[in-house]
Amino acid sequence: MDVLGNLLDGFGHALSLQNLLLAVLGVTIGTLVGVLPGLGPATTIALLLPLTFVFEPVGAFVMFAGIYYGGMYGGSTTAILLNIPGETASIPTTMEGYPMARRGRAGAALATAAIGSFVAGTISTVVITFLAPGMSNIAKLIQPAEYFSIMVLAFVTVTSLMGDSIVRGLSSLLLGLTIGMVGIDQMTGQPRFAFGLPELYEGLSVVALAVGLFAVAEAVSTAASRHRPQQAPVTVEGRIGMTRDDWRRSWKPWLRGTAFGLPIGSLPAGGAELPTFLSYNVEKRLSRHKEEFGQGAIEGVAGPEAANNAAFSGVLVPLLTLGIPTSATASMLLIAFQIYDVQPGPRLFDQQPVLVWTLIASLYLGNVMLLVLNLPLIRVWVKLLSVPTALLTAAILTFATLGVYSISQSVFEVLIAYGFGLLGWVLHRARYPVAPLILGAVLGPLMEVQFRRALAFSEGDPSVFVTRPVSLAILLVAAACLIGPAIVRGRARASAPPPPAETP
Amino acid sequence: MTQRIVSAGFLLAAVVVLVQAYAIPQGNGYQAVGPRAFPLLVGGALAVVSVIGLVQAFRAGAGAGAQDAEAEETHWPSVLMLVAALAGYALALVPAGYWQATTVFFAVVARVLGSRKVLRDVIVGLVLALATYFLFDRLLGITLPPGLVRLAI
Repeated sequence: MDVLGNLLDGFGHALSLQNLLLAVLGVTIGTLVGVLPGLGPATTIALLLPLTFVFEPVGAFVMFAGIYYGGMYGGSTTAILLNIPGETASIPTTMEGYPMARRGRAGAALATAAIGSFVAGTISTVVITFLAPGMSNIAKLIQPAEYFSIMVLAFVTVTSLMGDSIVRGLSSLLLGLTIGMVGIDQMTGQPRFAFGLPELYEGLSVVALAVGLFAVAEAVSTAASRHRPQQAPVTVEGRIGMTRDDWRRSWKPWLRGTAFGLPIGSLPAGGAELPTFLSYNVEKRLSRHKEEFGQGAIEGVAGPEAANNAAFSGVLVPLLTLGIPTSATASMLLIAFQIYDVQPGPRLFDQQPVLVWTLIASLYLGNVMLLVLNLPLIRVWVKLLSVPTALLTAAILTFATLGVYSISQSVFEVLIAYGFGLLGWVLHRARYPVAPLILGAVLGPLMEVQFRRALAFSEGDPSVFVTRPVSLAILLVAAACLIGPAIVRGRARASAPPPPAETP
Repeated sequence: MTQRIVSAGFLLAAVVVLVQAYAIPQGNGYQAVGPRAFPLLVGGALAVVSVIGLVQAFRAGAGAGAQDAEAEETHWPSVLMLVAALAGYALALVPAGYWQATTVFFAVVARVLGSRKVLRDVIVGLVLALATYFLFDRLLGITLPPGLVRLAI
């Protein structure tokens, strides 16, 4: 297990001319789609997933790493210029980045986001390189009962962090788990929830689910609100770059953001929301320019963007070593792995060393490409923001359909994706978060496997989850995460007037 | 209002899940847990959570009115027309052919969303449809429905 040797091997694979071109292509298309308003990184990946299938796995994952970073960077561009967060983790960026852009400092905001993401991404990738193989060895020791409990913990923390109601988050999650169970049971061959439809025996395609919930739902939502005035993007004036003062005010937030994002993201409970909000609050408290916060303080862009990127890299640790995704974007990555019949988890590093190390090497590459390509090209990306909404929405639906059809060659799956699009829109209107739904659908089948293995070892005794000390401890932490916020919120509600309705 | 309907929908879903889960045969005696246990667990949890959600949605009462402000502004004709366009597109995809159906669909959706430049929309749609058709069908080798008119190239 020589990490550096493996990494060099990975670079050897990633640096072939074909793979380099795929990385450039991935970053470019990822940014291109990610920049479009309303399309967060998860939607971007859902839309672009089909494009990677035609390449062999290694090439596809190199391209994928590019799309991942490009999509994220595109998301922060929309947050800064349009005040539209592509996902919850980008909200802090909108709070400072958009005011900066309106004051004519868009160039500096975009630059600090890009450079901060690069710094955070690179540091995190280095840490992951050394941390992940070790974690993978620890993960091999985990028994089914504990595995199940860790998944419960991941579900609970992710759900209680997303959206404003734990009940609605859990409803969404459990619906996702149900969707994941549709089809023939892997162990017994028994069809479940198929309602006699042979089309459903294979299960509901997670690609159709993701494309529907993210891309189609976004289009329906645009149609539903079409008479509302559209927000014009802020123009980018002056040069893209930072003054000496900007650098002085940015570098510490970048590092602090990384320090929040990486460890929290690496936990099988994290996600990217918590570290970005933490980073925002800490920068606000530490800043010598407190009065600027809310009016466009550069620290408020630099910190959360770094935290976001670090968390996104950190999320790869539980994903690769445990097979547990802790964000919507990570779920999309897991789906990509599964399409290639690769199951991330403790054995991944042993079974697929070439794939894993090439993927890690391409994370370094993706980061560099992003900085090299995007800073000079920002003005090109910004032009995309002026594409009329009507054409944009039509294009999103076209690509969503093409994606689902090209994978499945089935009109039925396309209709399923549309159906999920409507479901996603209805849930969004009723303020139910959709990320837990995806998480449940993707992780549910794996969770059931561990559940049944644990019960098989205990010969059917369900107390196994609470009599094994480690499993019990994890479940207690999960229970605390579930009940704690409810109590805090209950107290806050009792003592304060109800908060204004949240605008999604 | 939306929240009440949706939370009721969740309760209904929970009932369906539980009924369907009960209908799953227990499987043979060799396994400690058959294919039924996990669905029952999930269905039960969904029932509990959705009952709480329903109670919350109805208790919110007048306060929920403000939260639904967005819902009241929903432009239903656009949503219904979009749904019709999607259904038509999915059904026409194979018989009419990929690029033909896509061109029409693109222009229709743009129109539904308020565009009034029909010619531009058709041209953009056609270019997009042909470009993706050639990329996927000819370059990447993913077969898309050709429809009646086969392109010579």
